[in-house]
Amino acid sequence: MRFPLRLLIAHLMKNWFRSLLTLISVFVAIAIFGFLRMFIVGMETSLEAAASNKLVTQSAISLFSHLPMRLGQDIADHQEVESSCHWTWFGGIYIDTSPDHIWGRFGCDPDEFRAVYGDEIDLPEEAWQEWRTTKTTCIVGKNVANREKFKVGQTITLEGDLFLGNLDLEIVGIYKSRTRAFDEDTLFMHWDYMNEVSKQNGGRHDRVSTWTILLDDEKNGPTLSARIDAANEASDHRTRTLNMRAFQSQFTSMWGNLPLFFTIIGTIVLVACLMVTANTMFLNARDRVREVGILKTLGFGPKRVMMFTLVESMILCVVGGALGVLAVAPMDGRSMMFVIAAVPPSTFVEGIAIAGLLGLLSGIAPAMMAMRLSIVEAVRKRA
Amino acid sequence: MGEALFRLESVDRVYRRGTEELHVLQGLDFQVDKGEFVALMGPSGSGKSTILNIAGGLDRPDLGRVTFEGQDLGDLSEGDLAGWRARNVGFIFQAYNLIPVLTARHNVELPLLLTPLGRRRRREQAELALEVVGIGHRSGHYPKQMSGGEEQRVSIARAIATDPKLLLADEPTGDLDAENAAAILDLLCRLNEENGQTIVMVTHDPNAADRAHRVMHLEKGVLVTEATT
Ligand SMILES: Nc1ncnc2c1ncn2[C@@H]1O[C@H](COP(=O)(O)OP(=O)(O)OP(=O)(O)O)[C@@H](O)[C@H]1O
Ligand SMILES: [Mg+2]
Repeated sequence: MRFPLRLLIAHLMKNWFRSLLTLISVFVAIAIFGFLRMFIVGMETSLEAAASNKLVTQSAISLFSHLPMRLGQDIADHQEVESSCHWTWFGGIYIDTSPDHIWGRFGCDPDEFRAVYGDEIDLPEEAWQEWRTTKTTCIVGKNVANREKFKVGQTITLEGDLFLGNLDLEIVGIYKSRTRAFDEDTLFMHWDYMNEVSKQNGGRHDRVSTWTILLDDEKNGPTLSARIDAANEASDHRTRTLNMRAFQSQFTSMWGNLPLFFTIIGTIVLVACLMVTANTMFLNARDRVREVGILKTLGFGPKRVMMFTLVESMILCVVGGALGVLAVAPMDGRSMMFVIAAVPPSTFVEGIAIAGLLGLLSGIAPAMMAMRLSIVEAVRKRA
Repeated sequence: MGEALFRLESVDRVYRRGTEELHVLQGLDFQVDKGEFVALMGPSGSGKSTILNIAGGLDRPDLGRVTFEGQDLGDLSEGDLAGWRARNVGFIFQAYNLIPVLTARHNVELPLLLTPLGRRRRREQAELALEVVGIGHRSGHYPKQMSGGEEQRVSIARAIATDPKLLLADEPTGDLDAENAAAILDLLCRLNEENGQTIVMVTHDPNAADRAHRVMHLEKGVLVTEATT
């Protein structure tokens, strides 16, 4: 079907301000939709990607309480444990406490870490070697490196808060994640180093946040976690051992009802946007009664004039929507508030489909009007 | 009488305003032969435009038949009727009815979009039509940059661009001064004489009507032949 394409362009240009405002409103609405969606999708995908052959042992009191380091040996002694690795949240301050400089900092043992997480991240072999052999080195995730402009070979200083003392750490590698369950917003250093410095400064020491356990067989998970927790039941450091998915869902549950709230907000924004686009299309239709009459006189049939009207509204909305999802695409993989944001291709498809639907809904009434318009009435008198 | 191009047979057209009925045309018969130039006159509100609209498939009669080269237009759907218009009829209006956001050439190219012609050929054809009406040099101008006479020429170029069998002109000189009106009439006569273009023209101007082969007068829904030249 041939369209008066030039006429379409002429319309968009003549009413450029109106077209632009409409485009921007769709852009904003779809960008908000994509922004809200990336957290919800991020939560879902990180839970789905959670390894089923891993357990996490944490303090039964809370995720933020510590466990004694010596527990590590007891855990490693279970025969179902292929390997295990302790993680300790260092916290600390890099430069200042502004959000730009907030990212994860953990102490661990590089060899254990590699045994458990070696499959989930990409790190060059030299980096692994340098990290394991030098106590004052660390590795950082790609996002942290990008944000802070960190280079391999650079030394940075972390100021302790939970653990005391300042740490000078040389960055020996920048890792990339291979899975949605592992973020790229974290620094990993030697636990030995942070422990030693804290101890020297009279701060807490010999404390660990969690252990991650790599199982020999995932079906042993439930019995092993029950046994570990039972062994510490009577102690002053009761434990809670969870599978990875349950462990991760603690973070997402911190969001509470936010996903629902996001969905409601997103829907309201889209409805408001529909009002804007529908208004534009009605203004356009009102301006073009005579023109539609002329097109019909020349032999453009009812279907053609209908499509012609619809196409304009679809173009405005779909272009605005595509730009909207493109605007949030760079957020993909960023870890924010314990969630790795996700903007998968499906979000693009959804965003553009919703934009298309906006275009359809706002253009359909004017398009039907154009289709039904009586030529005689439309071209009758001078405008 | 020559070969009929179109024929209105016992056509009724009624407008309803609430309960009131306005019988604009009643049992009207009207035939135009190929190659004819017919002028249609009559008082304001007598239904001249209505006849033209019905003959050109812009409007449909409430009763009666309209045939074009033997084909009954009543058999065509809205969509088919539009396609039929694109192939067979060119319209010229008193108010020119050019599309203001398009240049003269792009206005003329519009109906060519409905033909199988490619982009290049459409452009050439549009430029040729503008040459024919003597306004080729203004092809890149927008309607608001032109005088009424020039606009009307562009609208004639648009009407003849697809080489339709029938040209319908509703008071084409109504908004023009005497000089421009004469030029437009010359143009229509030339199209009729040189190309054998069939034309039906509504006019209030007896001088304009004089240029036609046949003048029909419409009064109270009835057509009377006034003069034949
Ligand atoms: N949509 C309509 N609804 C009601 N009445 C209409 C409608 N269209 C036309 N009419 C009436 O039909 C009659 C004929 O109209 P038409 O336009 O054919 O007249 P005309 O002879 O062309 O007049 P003019 O010389 O003023 O152009 C007029 O009385 C007009 O008011
Ligand atoms: Mg009239």
